[in-house]
Amino acid sequence: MNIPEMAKVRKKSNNLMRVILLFLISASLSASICALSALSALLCPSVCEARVYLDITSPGIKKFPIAIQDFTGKEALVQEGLEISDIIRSDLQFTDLFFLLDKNAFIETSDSPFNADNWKPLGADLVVKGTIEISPDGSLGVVVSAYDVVEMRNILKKKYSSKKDLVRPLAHKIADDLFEVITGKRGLFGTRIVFVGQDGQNRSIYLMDFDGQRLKKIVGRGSLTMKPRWSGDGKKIAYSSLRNGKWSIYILDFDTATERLIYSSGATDLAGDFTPDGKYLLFSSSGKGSPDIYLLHLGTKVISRLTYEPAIEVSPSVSPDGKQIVYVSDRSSTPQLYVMGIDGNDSRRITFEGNYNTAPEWSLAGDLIVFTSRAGGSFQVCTIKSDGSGMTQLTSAGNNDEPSFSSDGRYIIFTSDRDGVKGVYQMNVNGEQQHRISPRNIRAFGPSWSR
Amino acid sequence: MREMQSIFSDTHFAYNRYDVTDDAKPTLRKIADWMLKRTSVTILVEGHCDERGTNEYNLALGDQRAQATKSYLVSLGVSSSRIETVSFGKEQPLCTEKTEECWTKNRRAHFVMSK
Repeated sequence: MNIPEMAKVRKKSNNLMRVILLFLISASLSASICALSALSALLCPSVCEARVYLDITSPGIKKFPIAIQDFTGKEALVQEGLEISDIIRSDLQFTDLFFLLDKNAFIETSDSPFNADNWKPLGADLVVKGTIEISPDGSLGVVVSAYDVVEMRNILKKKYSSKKDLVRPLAHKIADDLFEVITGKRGLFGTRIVFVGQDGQNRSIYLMDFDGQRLKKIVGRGSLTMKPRWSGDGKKIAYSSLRNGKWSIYILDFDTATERLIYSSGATDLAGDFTPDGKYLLFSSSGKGSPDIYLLHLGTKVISRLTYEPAIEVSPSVSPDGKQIVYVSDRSSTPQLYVMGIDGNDSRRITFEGNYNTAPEWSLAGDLIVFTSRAGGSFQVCTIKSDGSGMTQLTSAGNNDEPSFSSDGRYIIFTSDRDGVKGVYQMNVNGEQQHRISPRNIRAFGPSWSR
Repeated sequence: MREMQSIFSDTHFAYNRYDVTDDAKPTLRKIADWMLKRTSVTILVEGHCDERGTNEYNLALGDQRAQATKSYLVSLGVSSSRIETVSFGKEQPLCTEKTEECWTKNRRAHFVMSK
């Protein structure tokens, strides 16, 4: 074949590729990331796996440089555009894993097409653009595109839609998707925190987004209430409340906004974890004398008893694979942590330091248990592995109790009285960056982070 | 409408324990005698803890203090159905000083008559 003919053939195949590309992009406007992976697989000469840009499990990682441009829209939507991009930046900033490039340094405007040459000098590895419009039914439609600067290609194009007053959850969903594309892991930006708050004589359960926004009271009964537990799907919380002279277990369903009584023995019943499959609730009850741990099947209401010791056995928390439970028992004469199978068998003690170890919670992200330990006369939050090794004290100021992991296991929230009045605090799983997250005017405790 | 009335002095417990102490027994005998003479009366035994200790565990401890006290009264002949129990954990302290004296005061079973 001579050269002009080869050029013709190459031109034809380039055009054909362009047509395929355009067709696939328009067809996948409302498709998921999977279709786009397929698209890149089609275009890749060799095998292309879904790539992880940032491996958050490797030690000493460098922050991932990312540029989030202000999302654009017609005049009336400029505000929403700014708000959404600001929330996405805040979310990524929260994780301390990203270096957010300063938007004042951007060369390319938000509505110009992506050109890698505009981003390479700034050191961005990923660029995110978004456009907003109002649909005929009044809902917001957002199209988000992400571009790989090194490989100079679009790696994500996804359409979202939501009601106008749900801008925050929408922005969090976008941030979650970006986080997953970059790290391969599930983001926590859609998660929420509940805690018990007291102002004056009234106790209520409060709910807020993971970043402290949209704080509101959701159950206000005036009765004493203990730390709630989230169901795995984030749609329900279970908690114990003292009503009519008895501590009984209630479940609040967010979908139906209803609270119902699910167990009352007439003694002291305390809610524990939901199992990961959502079918059971662990709890403790002193209905038969000393408090023991039970499993309640939420559908059939059948109860299985798991412990039988004539001792206090409370505070069950389940492992992420649903096969084991960590709990507190004073069978050795002081409260200590024990681990047993979900069937109640093979119980073994795991804490041997100190004479008071309680309030355990098992991380969803792996083999780590957070709990409260009495150290030097005060109560401190500690972590330990399920085999009892590696006990580490994380707090030292005031008294700290009721720790709860974030869904990704990278953060812990807990109750602390270090400022005088009890409040909900947050820290990294290594104990760094301890700070208050509940409002100062509420006596707050018993926090729990959704999964 | 229940009329709550405190009728006897509180009995106390050792730190982190819920067994009925010898010091408590005279008061409990008085209560038992009193109840055996008034067969229609029911009482509520509240179990309380001092402020040290974690929230949930203290609820269980308070509950066991109330139950241990009730068991002792039952062993003295009072019918079980006439004694109710409830735990307040460390939620209702009588005092808030961080002293042995205050802590001891708070580790208590409190008796209330309910009509």
